This record gives sequence, C-alpha cells and structure tokens, in this order.
Amino acid sequence: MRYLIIMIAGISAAGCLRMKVDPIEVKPITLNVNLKIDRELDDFFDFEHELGPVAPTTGPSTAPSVAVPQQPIITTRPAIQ
Amino acid sequence: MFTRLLITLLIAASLGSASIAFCATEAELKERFKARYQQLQTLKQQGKVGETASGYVEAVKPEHAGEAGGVTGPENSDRRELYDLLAKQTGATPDAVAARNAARNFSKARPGEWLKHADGQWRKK
Repeated sequence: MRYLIIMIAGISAAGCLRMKVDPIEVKPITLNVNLKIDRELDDFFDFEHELGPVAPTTGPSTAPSVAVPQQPIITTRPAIQ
Repeated sequence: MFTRLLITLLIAASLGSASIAFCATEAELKERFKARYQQLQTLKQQGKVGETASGYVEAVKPEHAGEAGGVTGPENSDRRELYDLLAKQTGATPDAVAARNAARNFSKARPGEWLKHADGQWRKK
C-alpha cells in the first residue's frame, strides 16, 4: 500500500514536470537574399525608367485586328414652314 | 624602408586597378543592355519574343527565331553574365538570381506580351 501511494505520488509529480525546449530559430535567410537580389536587379535596370516604355509599332502583329465601327451620319431635318 | 614603401604602393595600385576593372565590366554590361532595350521591347510588343520563367528571352514561334536571334542571343549571353555577377555580390546562386529576374519581368510585362511559364506553355499576359 505504501509503495502504491509512493508510486501514485511519483507519477503525479512526473506530470507536473515541464521540459523546457529552446525555441527553434528559423532565420529568414532566403527572404533576405531575395530582397537583396531584387534590389540589385532594380538598381541595375534603372535605365528602363529613364528610357520609358516603347511606343507600340504599326508593323505586323500577331494580335487580331479589331474593326472600328463607323460613326452613324446624323442629318438634321429641315424646318417645316 | 624605401623597398617596403615601394611594395606597398605597388600592391595598392594593383588593388585599385582591379576594382576599376570590375566596375568597368558592370558598366559595360549595363551599356549593352541599354543599347538593346528598345529593340527588345519592340520585338516583345510585336509578339515575336517573350520572357521565360527561367529568366531569359526566347522567340515565341520557330519562324521568328531567325529575326529575333540577333537580339535574343546577345541578350541571353549578357543576362547569364549579369546573373553570375549578382550571384557573387548577393551570395546567391545564378539560378536564384535568374528566377527573381524572371518574376520581375513577368510582373513588368505589358498586356499582350507573351510569357513562357514554368510548364513550358506560352501564355499572353
């Protein structure tokens, strides 16, 4: 009986034990490198802002042409006398 | 003492010239990109050339390869050189730099331009 009480006490005490685990540090290495790469690329290609967008050409294009509908001709009625 | 001073000066001069050479290479690379920029954008708008997910440019259709080859060849060669350069500067791999440039070009692409995605399929933006 005594041993049983001691065993129960021991099991209960074990339940109160807490294991302290150091938190795992996940360093954002990949994120920092990507930001660095993006910054380097933006700095290198800064001339794209200076040169600006190229005006669309009127040469042959693979895009389908869209027909522009003609505006209806509006005529005024002569006044009835 | 004079010999030590002379050696120090020689080392400093060689380091200085090495750094100047490095800067000149990056500047020359940038000038080559600038010289081709207008022509490349025109080909993109004409639907003959498109950006790929690998960070390079390609002819959209085989029949455009001949006309576009004069631009895509040097462009891709210079891009490869740029990726190597930026990889050394950032501590990344050239493939990682290429992938980031691909994402950058995909987002900057204008509507109507062709983009070759990772699955190998060409799609219009």
